[in-house]
Amino acid sequence: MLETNLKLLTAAYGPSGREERVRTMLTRLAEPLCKELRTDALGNLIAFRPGSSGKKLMLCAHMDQIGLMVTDIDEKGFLRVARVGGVNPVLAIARRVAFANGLLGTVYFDARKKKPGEAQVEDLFIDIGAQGREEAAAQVSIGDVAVFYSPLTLQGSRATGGALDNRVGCAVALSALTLPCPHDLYVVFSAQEEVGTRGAGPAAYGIGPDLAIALDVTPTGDCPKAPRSVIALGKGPALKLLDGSVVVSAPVRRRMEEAAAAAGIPYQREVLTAGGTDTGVISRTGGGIPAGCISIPCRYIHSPVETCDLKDAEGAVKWLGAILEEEL
Amino acid sequence: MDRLERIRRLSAAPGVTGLEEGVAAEVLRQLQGLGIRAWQDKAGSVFGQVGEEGPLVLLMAHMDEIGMAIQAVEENGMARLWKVAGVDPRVLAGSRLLIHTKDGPLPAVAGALPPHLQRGEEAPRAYAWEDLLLDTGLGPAAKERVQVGDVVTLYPHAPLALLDGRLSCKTLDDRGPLGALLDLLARLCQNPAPCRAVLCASVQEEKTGAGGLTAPRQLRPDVAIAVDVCHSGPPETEFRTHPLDTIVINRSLCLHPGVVNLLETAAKKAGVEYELGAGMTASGTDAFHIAPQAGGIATGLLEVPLRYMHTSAEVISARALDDLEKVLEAFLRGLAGESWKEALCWKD
Amino acid sequence: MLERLMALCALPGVSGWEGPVRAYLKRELSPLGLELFTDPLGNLYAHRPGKGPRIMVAAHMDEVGMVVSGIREDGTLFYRAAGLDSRVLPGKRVRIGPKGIPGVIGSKAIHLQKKEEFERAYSHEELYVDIGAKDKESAQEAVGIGDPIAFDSEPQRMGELLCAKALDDRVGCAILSSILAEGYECDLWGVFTVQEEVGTRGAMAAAARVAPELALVLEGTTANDMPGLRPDEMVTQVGQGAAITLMDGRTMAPPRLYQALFQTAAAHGIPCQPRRGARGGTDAGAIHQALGGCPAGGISVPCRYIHSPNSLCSIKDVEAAYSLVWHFLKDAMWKEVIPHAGN
Repeated sequence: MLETNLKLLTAAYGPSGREERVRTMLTRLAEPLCKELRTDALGNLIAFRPGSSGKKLMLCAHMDQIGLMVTDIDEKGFLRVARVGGVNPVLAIARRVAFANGLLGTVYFDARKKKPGEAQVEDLFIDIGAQGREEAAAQVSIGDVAVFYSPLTLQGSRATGGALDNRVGCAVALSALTLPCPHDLYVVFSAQEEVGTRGAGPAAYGIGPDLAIALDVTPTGDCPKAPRSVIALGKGPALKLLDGSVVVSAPVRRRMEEAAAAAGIPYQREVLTAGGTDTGVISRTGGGIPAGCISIPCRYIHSPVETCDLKDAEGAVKWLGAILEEEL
Repeated sequence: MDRLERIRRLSAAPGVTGLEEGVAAEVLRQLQGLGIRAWQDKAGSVFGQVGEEGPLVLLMAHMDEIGMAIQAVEENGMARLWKVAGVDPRVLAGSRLLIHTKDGPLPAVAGALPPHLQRGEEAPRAYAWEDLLLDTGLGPAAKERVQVGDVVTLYPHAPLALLDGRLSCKTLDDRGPLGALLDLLARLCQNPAPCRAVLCASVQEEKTGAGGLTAPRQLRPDVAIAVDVCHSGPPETEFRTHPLDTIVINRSLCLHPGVVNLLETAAKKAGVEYELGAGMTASGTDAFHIAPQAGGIATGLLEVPLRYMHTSAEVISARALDDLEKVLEAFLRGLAGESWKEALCWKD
Repeated sequence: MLERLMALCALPGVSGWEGPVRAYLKRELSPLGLELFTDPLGNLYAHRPGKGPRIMVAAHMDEVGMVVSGIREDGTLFYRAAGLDSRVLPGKRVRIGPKGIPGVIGSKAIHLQKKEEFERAYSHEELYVDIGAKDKESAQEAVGIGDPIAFDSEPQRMGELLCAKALDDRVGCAILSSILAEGYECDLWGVFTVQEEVGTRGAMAAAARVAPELALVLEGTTANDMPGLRPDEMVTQVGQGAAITLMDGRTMAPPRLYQALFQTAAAHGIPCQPRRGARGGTDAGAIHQALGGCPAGGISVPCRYIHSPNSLCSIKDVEAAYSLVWHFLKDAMWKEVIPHAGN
């Protein structure tokens, strides 16, 4: 289930603020697994499955991905762009990108001025093969957003492709919808995480859960010359303790540690030096919501070759199995 | 319990931003010891209320402290550090610290390569997180005790009484003022003020302001006063610091001018000398976070000068803490009748 | 509207000290029979009750400025600033506090500077405010710590353009007060917000009070239509019409909303342009995330030299922005947005 869903989800288009296609895909996959599905004002998709305990548990995986927004079409038909989320201009050069309507383009840069390593987003353009402004404007409008075109490949248990951040979290959340849970279960596929965790707070406000667990990717320190980090692929999902947006509270930490022990799964402990996830904004919603995060280790985040180990994602599902069953 | 004892216990209780359980328990104990109705909210902030009638006044001092976490444990048992919030890695080399492990606190020393062994550099470079190693003396056996994510605090040495009523220890930011607020509540129990005074020992001021954001949304107070420390220090930092013994009424533009006036009136009534301080927003305090919550809250800020902020040798003045109590008490006693409502109207 | 805009621009209203602007707006709005009130932060609400969805239209009253943070022995004033580039300050005139004490921003004369000083920008720390006081005592009689400092700059017509301080966001205030003169098929909440320039703090409180189903934010925005830039590098261009936000540093405008605005403009022949920048933030950032969230978009008037005592905007762009908002509301274009809020 995880692998099939991951393939479908990574193939679905959905940059921040333009999540309708990935939301449609998620709706299709979640519909048989829940009682109710709704989309809120910011575009968060919320799947609900009632329980009997009278308590509410929220899972949250962001469904959006980073992209490039068209800001201008020049007379030759080239598109100029601005960043939606953390696109590294250097990693975008010589990559193919796709628009919502399936149109493909190639990203290149003003090569005369700079070396590729020096390129800024202002130096990038997208070539969609149009011969002139009119032809381009017939296919794409200012405000449209392109995402990396990078279909998922699998070798052994390793998955590589674009948008694994955070479709792998979405796939885990979908699997969680099949697990037994005595509580009202809300699975939020949040919008606009990549532009500043904007969707999750309003979603959490509407739900008011007793506990929230975010599902997202985390960088690893296991490839050559990586920044220091104890996180590695294949050693299990990670218990987030700290990142730029949140310090996970001791009661939530303990609950998750106990659940991992109950599920008998190996896990890693994550102290992330920068970056943030939906966890932070959820924890500060309303009068405060106890919030934790299960991280799936991922190499080369925000590139078209994000790489995860499916075993880690499977571990996350087992871990959630134990968390969902615990009393709140 | 006298104030020194109060502050000693508060300062020693572990409570790094986001992980305030230890200090929260201490604040709850002190409130309950005074017979005050006390509770904790979902964000972890601790509250105590005195008075059941009149305007609801939120008095907020944060209970969290700056601190670090273990980022990795090396093969030889030495540990790598990362900041949770507010710590300057340059002051750590040679410091005694405390690792809060699953089996209890474990003392350790922060070490770094001595300057004369730093290769290829002409002048000694300031230490960064990458340079620091935490040594428990246990060698490789430390791997059994210390886990990634364990919290590390400054070492809780007992407070040091300095000359002229000045006091030094760790985490007087903001537990010194918090101690004064607890004393104030004790006095209000004896001699009630015409309002509902709710003390909030808030969480996460040093990182995200979570307590300042969440508490007022629940309480919806009529007025809020945040109490924090500000800088006292060397004379060359002109107009950014204040004398150690003189409390500061903050008049930053984003604070409510009516509340500022009420605080100034209270100080005059109590015969307390004060200074004014001002910035655009009072950012870096709970006052900044409180004001825009729950549809807008009339918010003020009182500050107690402090030297050597965020080190293990913070210095505060007992006289300033006395004055803080006096001003707040006069402020609360002045809230009788309806005149405070008029004072909080915008007079355009 | 132009007359009102010029009157608004002449008023001081530094973030957190918007009283003069609020007082003026209250006076202007009071004959309209709206429900007018102020919250503890100082936001001014003008509610025109109606059937239909709750729509919030916001414009911020505050302008960038400074605050007195200390008084030196020699009578000069130490200040703190927010949102101000220190390079635009030297030699500018200011007004201080409720009494409007005049002053100038002082800096070391170039004749007294060393060569290396000469080549770098002035920092806020080396600038100060001079009110002419002969010593600290004399200064203290006129000003106090915590007094606001605003630019002193009379609005002036310059051809088709208007030159003034605080066009960001008195243009929004002027447009919103005109919009409020009429009724629409919605429950209209005009909110004149405070403290936008120091972190959209007023809007945070206002959105929690109003709980809008849709929000429009009226702004003065950066125009950088200068030589040597490609069109796509220009955030907006003065004289090219109302600017419609696609995204900024804190908002992704929902496509249905900005498309509805472009459609409105096209249907009524209103000049408009996309706002291209990916940076900056407006009250929309705070509003769209408040409570359970709502769609929020931005309509701006391009302003050159924004956040300086002399910014320039086109009077035609102000009219275009007004007309765009008016038609959007009259044509009930929110219907294109609200039932599909998530898309």
